[in-house]
Amino acid sequence: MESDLCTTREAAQRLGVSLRTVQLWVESGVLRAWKTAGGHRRILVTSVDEILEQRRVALSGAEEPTAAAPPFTLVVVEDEPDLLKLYRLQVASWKLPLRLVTATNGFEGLVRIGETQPQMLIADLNMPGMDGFRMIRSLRASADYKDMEIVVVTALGKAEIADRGGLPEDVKVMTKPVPFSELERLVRARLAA
Amino acid sequence: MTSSAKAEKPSRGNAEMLLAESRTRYKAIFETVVDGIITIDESGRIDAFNPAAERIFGYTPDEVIGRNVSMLMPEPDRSAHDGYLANYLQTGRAGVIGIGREVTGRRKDGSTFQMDLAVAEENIAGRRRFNGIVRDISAQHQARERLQRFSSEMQAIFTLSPDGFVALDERERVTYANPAFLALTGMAIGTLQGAGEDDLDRRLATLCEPEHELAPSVAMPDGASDVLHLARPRPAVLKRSVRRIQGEGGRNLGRVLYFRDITSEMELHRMKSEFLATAAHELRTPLASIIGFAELLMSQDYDAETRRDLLETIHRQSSNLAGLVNELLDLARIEARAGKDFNIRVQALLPIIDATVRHLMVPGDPRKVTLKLASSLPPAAVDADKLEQALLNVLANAYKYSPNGGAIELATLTRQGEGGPQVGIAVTDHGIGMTADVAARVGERFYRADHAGGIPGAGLGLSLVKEILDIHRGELQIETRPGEGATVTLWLPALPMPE
Repeated sequence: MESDLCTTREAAQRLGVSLRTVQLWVESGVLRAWKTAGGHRRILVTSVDEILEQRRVALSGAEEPTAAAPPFTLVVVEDEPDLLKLYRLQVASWKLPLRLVTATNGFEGLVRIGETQPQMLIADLNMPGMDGFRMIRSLRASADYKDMEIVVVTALGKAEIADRGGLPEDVKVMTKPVPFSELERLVRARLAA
Repeated sequence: MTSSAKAEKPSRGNAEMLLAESRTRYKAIFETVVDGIITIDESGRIDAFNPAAERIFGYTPDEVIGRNVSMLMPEPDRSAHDGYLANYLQTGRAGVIGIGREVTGRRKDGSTFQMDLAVAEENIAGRRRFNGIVRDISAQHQARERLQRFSSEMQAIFTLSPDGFVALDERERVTYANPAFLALTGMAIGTLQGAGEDDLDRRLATLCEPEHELAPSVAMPDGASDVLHLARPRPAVLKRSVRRIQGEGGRNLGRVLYFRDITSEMELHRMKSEFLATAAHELRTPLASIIGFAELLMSQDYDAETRRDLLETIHRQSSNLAGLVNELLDLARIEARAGKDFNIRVQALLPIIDATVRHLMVPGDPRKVTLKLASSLPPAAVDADKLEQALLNVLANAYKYSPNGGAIELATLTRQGEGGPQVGIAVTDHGIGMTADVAARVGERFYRADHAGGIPGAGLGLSLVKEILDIHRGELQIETRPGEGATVTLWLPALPMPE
């Protein structure tokens, strides 16, 4: 069954992402993997294929043909389709030089973040599958994403967030309805920096 | 000098003086001592009665001197006393004399009291007399009785208390554990009595959930409390408090541990905060869309098609919000009024079912409800409007959760329930169904059988049905399997058929 597994390096090459990103995906369960007796990670090839397939589907949806990488990438993770549409229209109305990438749950969020290395992440907390809490904890546990600004936009109150284990200190928390003008100010500040 | 000479050589006058002094001293004692002193002769006649005895019995010396001492006793001693005395004089076997005991005295006013009686016998020149020293102990006696009463009351309270109590002595050994504590922990009193506090801690620790380790009570300061999460003998959350018992002058008399079962409080607290979190999420999500799209429409110049699309989204989300707010208010009203708004009267159910089905309109779904009604059905005591609302919710669910069609059937049934005969209205669909785990939770507020599957709704419909049935003392029954549809039955208590 050796052929069904690949190394971290092979997975990184096939997926076109850094080794650290593959490690993040393995730790958070996006990629399914085992550790050998020697402590090396072996990744399930089918699990790598799944991500490549998802990417192909996403691209055929004509989100972004890529090319010259834009200076600023913003990833939004939100499960409510109407709100995602709202993010797209609002961000477009800012008329800023940035690329917007969206995902509808924590798993997909981690994949998009690994692929696009964004400068900023805006995430919901209550989501089916992997929720925002787990996604953010995985991200903050990885050294590669420590410079990425994380903003949480949630319907949960402070007490409920604390009840569910809280969030890392450097994560900004905003309450729904989505405060778009504040988000815009944050993005402009990052762009100017 | 002269006085010392007199002391060395006592004269007759000196002896008389000493005797007089001794008498004076005796008289002073006799008159001032707090104990009553009563002297009687061999026949039982009183010949001395001191002021303390006057106070105790309420007689003056004139009233008692020369009379039989038995007047100071109630029956049966009163009649028997001459016999006691004669018996002693004859046999020398004493009941009281030289021993002292607790006996009952009788006052002048006829009331009785407990007293300590000591009797000394004196024999002067062949004449025997008896000195009785009497102390009124009715106050102590009452105090002892109060104490006994108090401790049996405490015993009853501890035995009946639903909260657990453990008492430890000053050497930190268990002296008492009440039945509630034994029931909460499954411990046996036999193995607990005399056990050390550290041993008690060890045994409690083995009952606790591994992720909630027990802090030893030995280390808890006075008045402190903490929370125990028991996994055995049944899962429970207990609040434990410690109180030091202090005697006079702060002397340590040990400690009492108090255990209160707060499992249901915790569960209620959890449900409340879960409800709040979900309500906040469900209310804020449509609001976020409405406000956000409205802002866009105000600030951006979109083409007519985009504008229309955004307005449609705003409208859809506003309708969701309105539906949610209505359902929440309905639920809150029913709960707060506990059925007081219900106009419950005995009536036939078929007309209500008929009206409900006729009122039912599902936009874009041509299916009609297939009725399988019994020809006659027992009446029930119901609020027609509320039952219609419950039935409408169930029917709406049947449409919603069978998006690919299939018959929707409504049948009436009867059965013998636990509390008597019941009449049921069963709605069956052939839609997506659900697992048993999901079915068990559908009555919970905001619980959605299909959260990601795109079927709209806030998860309040069946909560409302359940609430309405509760007020009718009915039951909600759900039979379902994933992919095989569901049968939801509203059971109501049936009344006898009219003649």
